[in-house]
Amino acid sequence: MKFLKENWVLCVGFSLPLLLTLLFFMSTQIALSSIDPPRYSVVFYEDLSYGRTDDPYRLVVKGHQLYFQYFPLTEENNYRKWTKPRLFIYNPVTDTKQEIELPSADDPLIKVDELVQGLPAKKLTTLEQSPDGYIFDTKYRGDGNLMTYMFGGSRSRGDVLLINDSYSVKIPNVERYATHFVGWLTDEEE
Amino acid sequence: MDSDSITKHDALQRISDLAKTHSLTLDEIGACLTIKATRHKGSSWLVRLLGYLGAAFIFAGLGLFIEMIWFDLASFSRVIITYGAGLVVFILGALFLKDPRYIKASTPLFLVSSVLLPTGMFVFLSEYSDGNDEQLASMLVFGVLACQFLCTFYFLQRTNLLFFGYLFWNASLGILMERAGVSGEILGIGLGLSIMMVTWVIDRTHHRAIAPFWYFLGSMGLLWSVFDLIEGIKIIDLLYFPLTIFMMLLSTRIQSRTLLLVSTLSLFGFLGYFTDEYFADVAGWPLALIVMGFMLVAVSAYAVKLAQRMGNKKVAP
Repeated sequence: MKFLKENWVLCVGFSLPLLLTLLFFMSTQIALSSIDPPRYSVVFYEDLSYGRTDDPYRLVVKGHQLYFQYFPLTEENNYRKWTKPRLFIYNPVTDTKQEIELPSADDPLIKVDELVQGLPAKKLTTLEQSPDGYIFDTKYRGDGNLMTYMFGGSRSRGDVLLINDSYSVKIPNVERYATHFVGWLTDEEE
Repeated sequence: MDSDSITKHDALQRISDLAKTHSLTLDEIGACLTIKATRHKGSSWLVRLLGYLGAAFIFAGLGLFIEMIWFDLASFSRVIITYGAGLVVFILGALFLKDPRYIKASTPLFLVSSVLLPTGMFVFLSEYSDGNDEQLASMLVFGVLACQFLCTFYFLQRTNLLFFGYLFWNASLGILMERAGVSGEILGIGLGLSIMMVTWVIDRTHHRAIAPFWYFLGSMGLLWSVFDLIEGIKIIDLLYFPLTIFMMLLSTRIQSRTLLLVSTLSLFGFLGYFTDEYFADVAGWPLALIVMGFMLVAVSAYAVKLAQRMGNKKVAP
């Protein structure tokens, strides 16, 4: 007690950040307790050339099923080396990410339009929001200042998340800038 | 006091007698003293520089050698060569404090260990852990190191141990706050305030040599974060002005020129923001610039006056 009285500045100095941490942690937990965690698996792919209209590789959803398409290169789009996208499913319940093999497109002169095998036998819905209210989003956290740059620990990074209000689940080991949403795997009746 | 003056008086008397005996002039004595002092200073400076250069070369050579053979090393060897070396250097630094001849060597040894120990711990986690959460790894590594350095400081009372221990403590705490969801601005304000308060205590001890660095970091982090928080919010952003003035006055109270410098620069920055935010689109913009110029001059003059008022600080026993 005597030590506290004599060194109250030191004690406040050390305990202030800890109190703030506790306060924010508790408020976050209270907010999270009212939201259910995500239940539906999400299908997404990684493609570095996303957004180019002349990309010969495409993933298309037709009738709640996913098709992989490849169009042979023409003179117009034969100006670069295109890379085949990589397809993934993330299951938030088990927190696992699984890669799904896409149909072969080894012969560059033959068009491919095949159903993607390997997806669970569920309905693939391309709605932005899952039935339980989550959206697939990317978040770039570059809003730092001197303290966060020095002591925040790799704060300026991009995450891919399933977000519902203040609840978010981070999808592990994905590149924010190359990841794109395909749809949610839901039950047939939903 | 008396014994000192008698000794000095006696010494001067003897010098005077010797000068008379050997017909030495004042200039000759002065020249001899100056040459000796310069020679001693020059050689000590050179020895120190060469010593540091030599140590840097050895360290760089070892680093390059390790880098060259890195992929030939097994996981355990990688950990031993980084963490093991760091731990040995740390223990040597502590042991050298027991021998007055090697006390000066302890500081560079602790410096080297503060680089090797976290490197070694990250190598260990990289080799043996598959969590893939760099932030958690950093928090654990810096937390363990903060305990190690601060506990050693408690027993050995070396300023460099306090410096590195507090650095690791803040690194670990910052990550903990970030992971707990504390927003960037609040994190900066909380940590900045905390650093300034702890530094105020450090500044009153014999470890005050590190206080300017931490005052700089704490005040800079605090003012930066407060500005981030209120920037662009009309009227509220004006509160930054009294805050910087308060920091300037606080700097005189705690007698820190570093804090005065940071708060004065913040005030300059705020005045620029203020004129741009409130007067940039009006016809009086050039006039506002002139007014700002006068204000800057006034603030500078005031800051210089405050700096001159600062005397020597008292150190706690």
